Amino acid sequence: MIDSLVNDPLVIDDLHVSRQDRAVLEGVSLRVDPGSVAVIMGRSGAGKSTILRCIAALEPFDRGTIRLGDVALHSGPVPPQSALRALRSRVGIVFQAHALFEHLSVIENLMLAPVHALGWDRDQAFSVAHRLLAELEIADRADALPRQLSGGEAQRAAIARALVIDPAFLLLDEPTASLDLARRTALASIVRTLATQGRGLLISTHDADFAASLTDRVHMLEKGRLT
Amino acid sequence: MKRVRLMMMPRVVIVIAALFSTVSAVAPVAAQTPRAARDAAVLRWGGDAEGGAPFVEADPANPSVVRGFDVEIAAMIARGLGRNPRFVQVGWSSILQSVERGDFDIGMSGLEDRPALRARHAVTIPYFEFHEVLAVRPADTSRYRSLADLAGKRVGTLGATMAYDLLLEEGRRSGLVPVSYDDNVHPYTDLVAGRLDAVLLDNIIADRLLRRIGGFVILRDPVATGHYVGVVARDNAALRDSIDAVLLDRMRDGSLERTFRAWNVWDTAQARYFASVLAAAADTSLATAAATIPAEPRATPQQALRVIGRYLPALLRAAVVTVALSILSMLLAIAAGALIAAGRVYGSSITRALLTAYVEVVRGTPLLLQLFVLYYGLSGVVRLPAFFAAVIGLGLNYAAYESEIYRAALAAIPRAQLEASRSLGLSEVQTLRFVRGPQALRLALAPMTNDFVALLKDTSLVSVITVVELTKQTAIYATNVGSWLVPGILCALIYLALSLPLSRFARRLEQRWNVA
Repeated sequence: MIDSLVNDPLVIDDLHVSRQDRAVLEGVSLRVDPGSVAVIMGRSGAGKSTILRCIAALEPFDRGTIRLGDVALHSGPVPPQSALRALRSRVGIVFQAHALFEHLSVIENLMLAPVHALGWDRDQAFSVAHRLLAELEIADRADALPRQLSGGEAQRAAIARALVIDPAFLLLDEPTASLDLARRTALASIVRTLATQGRGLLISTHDADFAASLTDRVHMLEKGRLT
Repeated sequence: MKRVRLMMMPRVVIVIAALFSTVSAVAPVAAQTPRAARDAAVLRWGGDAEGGAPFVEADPANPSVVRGFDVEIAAMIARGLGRNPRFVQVGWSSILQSVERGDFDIGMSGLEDRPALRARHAVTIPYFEFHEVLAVRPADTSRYRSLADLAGKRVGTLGATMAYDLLLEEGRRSGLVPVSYDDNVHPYTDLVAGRLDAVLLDNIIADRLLRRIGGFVILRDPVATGHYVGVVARDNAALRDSIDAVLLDRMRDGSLERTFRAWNVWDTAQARYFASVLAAAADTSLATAAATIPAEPRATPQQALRVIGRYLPALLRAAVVTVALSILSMLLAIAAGALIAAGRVYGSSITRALLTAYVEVVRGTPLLLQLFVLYYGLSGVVRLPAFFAAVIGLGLNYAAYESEIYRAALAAIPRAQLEASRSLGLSEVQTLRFVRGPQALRLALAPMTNDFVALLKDTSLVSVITVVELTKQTAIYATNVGSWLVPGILCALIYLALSLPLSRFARRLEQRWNVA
């Protein structure tokens, strides 16, 4: 399944972000290797999501660099979409609220990017999307609309959508927020599987048990820095 | 028949003028008589000052009073009855309805004598004979000599008149294309501008417009002959008979001739006509003199049904025009509205400012004014065919409203949806096309349906630029049958039949998109 993985690590160096004159991140540095799981923990509002959003080039930052092989993001405004092709194909993100496209069925949510951003033909996109849904055990929900899904189904659909373009790194923002204990366990197993496939995972959470079940490399975000 | 719409402003002046003229006419009497006697001593006469000279117009020297030969004849009649004239301003197409309602005692504004008129109202003896004459461009005088030469050509006239009926008849016979106007100036300006091949109207109107704007030639052989009459309420035949007696006296003593001479509309044909009327009156009773045209008997219910059957096909054809106009205009409004909304959401600050200005100007001025400017105002620069101008006018007007709906709908799409799309590598355009646009469309659907229903009804405004759609056709029908009741109900039913399925369709679509 994974054929475009590179061996380059995701390296965040000295990331500074301030919003409305309030310092959010004050020198965050972090390295995530392919095939590994990194977890950032911290209180709500500590800036966990901001780190993930900077890596996904959805928010600008004031200082520092984010590197992934030959792709680098620098401080200043977010570059235009056209300059972010390489990054987009290598980094996927799963939002806390899933952000599935409300007007499209699950399978259409998965097929949109491959068909329109990568130019695959629809049959190819459909078969890859279907295989992913089957692996995540929600193939029977392929034709459902997002609002018809349970929290756990919506999250797996969102993970599947991020994976369909086969990114080397996957960012998960507060993935356990809407899950019960059984679902959290199932999610942990999905994450481990993705890591064994060679993907790098960076997860923000405030759930210590979930973090501990994934990795012993848990970073605490406090006062804008990782400890 | 003679509604002259020179521009938008005079209408206001005329209404004010009408108000003032009633005051000035009544004032001397009011000062010395008690109220009941005062009312009895007044002859209220209704006319449309928008009709213009030589019928009724606001006096250029003193716009608070009206002048014209109809004004003078009304004054003669009032004096003959021992009353004072009081002018009541009324839209030309409403004169007949208003006189029956009792808004005034007699309607006079170049009203044409027709059998249908005599069937429904008490009609005076005809006091003027006119001819329907053709006007063409100077270069065409050898080509077009009669209506028959105008097969397949566009010929303009005032809607709901004898001339319009003549053109419709000729249209059925030869394929001549009748073009209906709401006033009697624009047919001639459009003729000069090349939008029409000929104009058929009353000779005194043609003569006056020739003096005023020129650039065309009047063919002297009359196409038809008609008469102007005064109209009194059906149950007031006694007043009509007194008025007829006054009119005959004024024909006999030369007062009418002097008035017509003063307004430059007297000729030998008129003299012959007066002589024949007077001879007939001396010969027989007043009634036969008056009845130069036999009255139609009142309609039975069966006849009324037949009349509906006769007009229904024309109404349905007009409904097709309304539907075509609505659909084409809405398509233009949606396309232009989407572009404006996109420009206002995504464009540079200059683009945003320009588009905002467009939206505000269009929403802040009347659609009627925009149609006038587009069709008549710009005719020196670009000469748009009427239907095309109607689609552009309605479409660009509604585009402003649509753009506001789309802008609000675009703004309502959560940021997370857009970020998800970007994070997957879709470009901004693709995000708009596949994520933001389709979701916004679902939000916009209900207000869009509202707008489309409103547009369907606003198409009735385009009759001012000669497009005959459902409401105009209904007005023509109503004028012909002398009542708004049946035509109004038929017209309303057709509009409902068009708009109700649309609302249903929109509700269904909304339900489908909202499956829980």
